[in-house]
Amino acid sequence: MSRRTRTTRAITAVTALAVFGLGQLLTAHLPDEMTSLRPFQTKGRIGESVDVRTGTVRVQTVNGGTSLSSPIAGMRTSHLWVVIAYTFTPSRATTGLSSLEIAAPNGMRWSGTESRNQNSCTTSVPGLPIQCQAAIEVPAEYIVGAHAELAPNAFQRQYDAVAVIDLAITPDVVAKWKATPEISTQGSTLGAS
Amino acid sequence: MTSTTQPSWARRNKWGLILLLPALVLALLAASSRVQLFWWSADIHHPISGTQGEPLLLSETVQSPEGTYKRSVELTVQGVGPGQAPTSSTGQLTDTPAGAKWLSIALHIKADPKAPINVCRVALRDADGRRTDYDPTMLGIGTLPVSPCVPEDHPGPTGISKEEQSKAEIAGPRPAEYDIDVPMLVAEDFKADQVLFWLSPPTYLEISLR
Repeated sequence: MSRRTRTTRAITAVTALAVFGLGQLLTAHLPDEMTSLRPFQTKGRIGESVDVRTGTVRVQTVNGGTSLSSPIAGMRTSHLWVVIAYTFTPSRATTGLSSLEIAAPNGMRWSGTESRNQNSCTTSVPGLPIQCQAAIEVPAEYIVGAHAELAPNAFQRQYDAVAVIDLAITPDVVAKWKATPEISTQGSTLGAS
Repeated sequence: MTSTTQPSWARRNKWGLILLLPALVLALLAASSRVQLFWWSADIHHPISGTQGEPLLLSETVQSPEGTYKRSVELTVQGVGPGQAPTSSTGQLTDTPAGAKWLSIALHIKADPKAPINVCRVALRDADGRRTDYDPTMLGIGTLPVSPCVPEDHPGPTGISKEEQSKAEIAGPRPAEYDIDVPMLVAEDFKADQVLFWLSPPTYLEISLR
């Protein structure tokens, strides 16, 4: 075997090992699928405006009670109704905000569109706010420390912006809501408040 | 004794290297086909530009369950000016939301009375690229006409089937050309720069205002 052939083989072997090593390194350090699919979360508080790609959202008030009076129906619950009033202002196009969920610290989630829950938020035009309300039925024992997640698209939250709003729910707040017999909700209203 | 000179690495792999570039282009094209399949046709991307006062033609071939057909609209944007709150189908004057105003787009439309053009969409764009669409449901159903570009009393057919065509004939044919005002609810600070008009995306008319 000539010296040149030996050198070529040695370089090939070293290169192959380096490529395997690089692959191993990339596999170990690149984000996994769950991480790469995660939404872009922006944290905020009640009263704060948060950007959600298609506009800005601001949670205005959070209230609770044991029965809900809405334009559609009156509904009692053995748990709690939480009513979130929020404003959405589109920035670039005529659109609405279709996803609102409450997430408890233990990972349980309740969507504004499932079961008897309501999330009435139609569309608005760029620069014109729309006043929206969501009513979500939740078990009282899990919602202390819960937050709301508001997103432009209900069906595709991967890669998208999500506003994560601390709802400031304490044991005292839950006790107060348990003692509130009725809360009401209305449909969405276009225009500044 | 004969001395043989081995060809260099680049020479030995020349075909591989030559084919590398087209292979890369093909891989990129194959990956980008998803953009065409899923996103390109979902919204307006292909403008046909014109100016206020000049007629502009939009022609397209439509594939429907009843068959493939062509439809064309010749559109002239006559102007955009301050508008009034429209009267709903129940005769009530629509409330103007706080922070909003009404604009009115004056259109002149020429189209075959048998062509289903009621699916048309109209929007305004400002200098910053903000797009305000005509949305008949925004203030509640029945507040605004469902279609912004056909007369409410003679809207013409909604498809090419015999049933839809005869239904339109009973209602009375849509005029071959007519003027129509489109009420647009916009934010108070919105200043229209262009009128957009389309039937099926991605092709649309983009008319600059004077």
